[in-house]
Amino acid sequence: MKKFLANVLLFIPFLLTSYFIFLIAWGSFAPGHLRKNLIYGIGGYANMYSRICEAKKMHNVDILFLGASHTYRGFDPRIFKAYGYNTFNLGSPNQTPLQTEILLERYLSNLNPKLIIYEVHPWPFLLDGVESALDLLANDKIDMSSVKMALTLNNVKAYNTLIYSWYRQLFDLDNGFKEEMKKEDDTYISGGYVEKKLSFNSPEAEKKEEIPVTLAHWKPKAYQLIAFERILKIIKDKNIEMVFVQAPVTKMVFNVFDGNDKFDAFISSKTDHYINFNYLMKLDDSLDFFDSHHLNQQGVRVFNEALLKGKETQLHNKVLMTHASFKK
Amino acid sequence: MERVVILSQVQDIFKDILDDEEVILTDKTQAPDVKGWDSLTHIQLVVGIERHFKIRFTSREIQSWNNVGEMVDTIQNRIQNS
Amino acid sequence: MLFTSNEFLIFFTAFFLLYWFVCDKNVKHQNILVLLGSYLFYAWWDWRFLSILITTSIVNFILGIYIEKTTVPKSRKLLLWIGLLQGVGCLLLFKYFNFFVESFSNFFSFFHFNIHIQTINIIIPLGLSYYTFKSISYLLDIEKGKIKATAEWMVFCSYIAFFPALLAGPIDKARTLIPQLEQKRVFDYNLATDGLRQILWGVFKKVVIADNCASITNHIFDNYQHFSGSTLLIGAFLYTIQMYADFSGYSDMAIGFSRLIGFNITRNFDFPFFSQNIAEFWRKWHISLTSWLTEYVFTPLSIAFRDLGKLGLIFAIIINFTICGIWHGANWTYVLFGLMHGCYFIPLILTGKMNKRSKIAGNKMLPSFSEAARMLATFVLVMFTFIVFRAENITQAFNYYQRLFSISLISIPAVPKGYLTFRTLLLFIGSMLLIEWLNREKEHGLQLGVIKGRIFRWSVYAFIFFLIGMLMETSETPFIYFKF
Repeated sequence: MKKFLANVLLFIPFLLTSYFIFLIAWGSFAPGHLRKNLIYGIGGYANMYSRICEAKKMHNVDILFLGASHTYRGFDPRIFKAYGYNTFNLGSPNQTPLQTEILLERYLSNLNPKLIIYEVHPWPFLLDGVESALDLLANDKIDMSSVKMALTLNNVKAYNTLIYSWYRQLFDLDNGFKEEMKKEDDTYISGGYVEKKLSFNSPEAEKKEEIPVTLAHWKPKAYQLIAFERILKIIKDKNIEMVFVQAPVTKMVFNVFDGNDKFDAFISSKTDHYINFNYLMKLDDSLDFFDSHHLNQQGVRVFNEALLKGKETQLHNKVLMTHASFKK
Repeated sequence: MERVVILSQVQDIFKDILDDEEVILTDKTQAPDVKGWDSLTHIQLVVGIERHFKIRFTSREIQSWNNVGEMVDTIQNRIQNS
Repeated sequence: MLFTSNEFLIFFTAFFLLYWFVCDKNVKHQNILVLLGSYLFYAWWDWRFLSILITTSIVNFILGIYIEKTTVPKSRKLLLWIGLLQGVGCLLLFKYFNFFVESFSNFFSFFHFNIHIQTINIIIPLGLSYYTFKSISYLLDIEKGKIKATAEWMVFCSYIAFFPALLAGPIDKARTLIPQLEQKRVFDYNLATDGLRQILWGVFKKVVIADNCASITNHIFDNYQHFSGSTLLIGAFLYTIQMYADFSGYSDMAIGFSRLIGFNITRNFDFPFFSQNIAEFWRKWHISLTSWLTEYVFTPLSIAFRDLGKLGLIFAIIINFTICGIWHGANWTYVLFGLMHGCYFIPLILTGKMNKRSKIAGNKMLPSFSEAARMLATFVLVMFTFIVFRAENITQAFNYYQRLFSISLISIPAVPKGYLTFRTLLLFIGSMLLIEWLNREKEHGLQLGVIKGRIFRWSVYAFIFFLIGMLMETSETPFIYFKF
């Protein structure tokens, strides 16, 4: 028995070390189709690398945008600039509260915004957040909060990517990495935004698109709600004004989700500053979107201008103005 | 009928059904000792023995023998009782 | 609590330490822990069915004692029948009631009689088919005088509920497991380490091979009408591999965990894909079930039909495999699956080759050409039955065959991508089969006695661990939808 336990105890560190070595070798040499659970996408498909680089250098912005794809494809810094605001978009694909919290912890102090606009959609609360975690692990520094995130997710992909990413950072292997600013139809715009080449949502394609059942009901993940509370606390502690916004989606997607009332009530219970643009804006499901839930450039312009000067949002315009005038 | 006679007749039946002239049976012989004696040929052997001695075993008897000796005992019992 | 889940890892580690360090004084303590552990394990899945498990155990325990005590053959038979009725009755009620009712009313509605019998909405208690077979074999063996009834209720209840084998076998007979439960288990280093190896191999087969196959086969079988014949052929191939990897992997884990706590339970798979005919296949596939059926169904039947000669054997084998089929579940597809296998035996019975045993490839590295051809033929025969096994119903199975054997069989298959691509998966399936081929005389696929040097051996284990980590199915939301 002693021999057995001794061997088991010896085997565990041996296993961990070998796992680490195999992982590095695999990540460095194995072809893509063998790397199922090691997803190290530096840059990612939405320029997370460039966004993080910019976030590190940016100081004292007027408005900071948070959220998932509705954010980084929904708030165009150029439009806000035209109205006199310096903004930064920290949104990223499938970003869930778990990642938003980490990003805030890392960049809130140097971005130091006057106002935060947090695009809240029910979906990020329903997702486990693995996809966005991998994006973050590959493109931002690895520290204790990354480890905590991986432990919360308890997912092999997250662990593998965490280890591999840490190794690459340790030896500075991605030093020469230069990210493409243009990827297929997407162009990265300084300030964190990604512009899609103008195209339109076809209702035909929409019909084929199936939305998973898990995204149709309001059943938020416990750890996402906890992370959300922590986000609220971070911002409250810094005494920064925050507006919650829900960006418009097509009627199809909006109606697929059966918990809109519950979700609105949930957000409203946390803040007085929540505007759900799905009730306010009359957008065309085909002309203003490039797919079932992302605005095209034309839609973004209409949406951003509505946010900036729409009657319904006057209250928040006031907030905007107050803070902007503070700065000026 | 003499026990020895039964045993030698059983041995002939084995030779015939297993198609093997080399078969030698003693009281202690068990299935693994005889080439080709498996659960299927066992049933053929049983049928051969039943026909030869004009007796009928019960299902329980067929499954209960541990060696040739026990089988011969049953045969002898049957012949005496009939 | 799946064997591959974190909960089970914690449960088993705690169990292991308690078992060898706290409850190691005597056999009673060990058995109390086995029994409590088993009931906890079962209740974790579904506590509601614990009562059925316990009732079955108590009823059969008492019956066993009385069958042995009674000397009057008629009373013995009567007690045995009560036991059989209890076991088979539970199975019929929970597993087959709705099936019979529906088949019955369908039969009459075919002749335009409308019969309405209420079906009942019940869930099948987990492991019912497995532990019922255990209790039945126990009573039958006592009645036949093959074993003695155990006087220890704790031994018997542990035998029925033995957690490593509770949910999906192996189905140990009383005469193999009960003697082990009656003796104090002593820790055996070699048994335990080999158990660990077997678990690792089982996890690899389940997690890397079976789960990744499933991600492709589910897609093919659910949308078979959209695929070409050649793709359906690959679907059937992958499903056969998947079934093997899944079930033998699970059995390897069950056996491995048993070994860690000092038990040697019945082997369930003996590299069935290296069989040269169907009879050999069934001697190597789900062995504990096949040997159960051979002993309690096929042998008595073949004795009863003995005057019919080969025809009698054919009857016996067909009935035997029909039961084998329907044991898997209440669906006509399983009946057909069993029937097909029964029919496969007919040529073997007619030529007298059914029980012929031969050692494949001897000590050589490669099988001879004819051996390889027979192996392949057996595989293909089996593969065709697994189409029925996987199909939702008979109609779907026939449609699948129809498409498979259409002209599109001669086309380049377009295998949908699962978690892995088909080619990558083939690489790992090939590796698995190769490793098992090399170890085909061993008790499981990963008995690495040959490899000298601990560091090297450990590296092999670590690499398998790594492959599991790299290729296992993960449960996160698919990344498909949000990719914008």
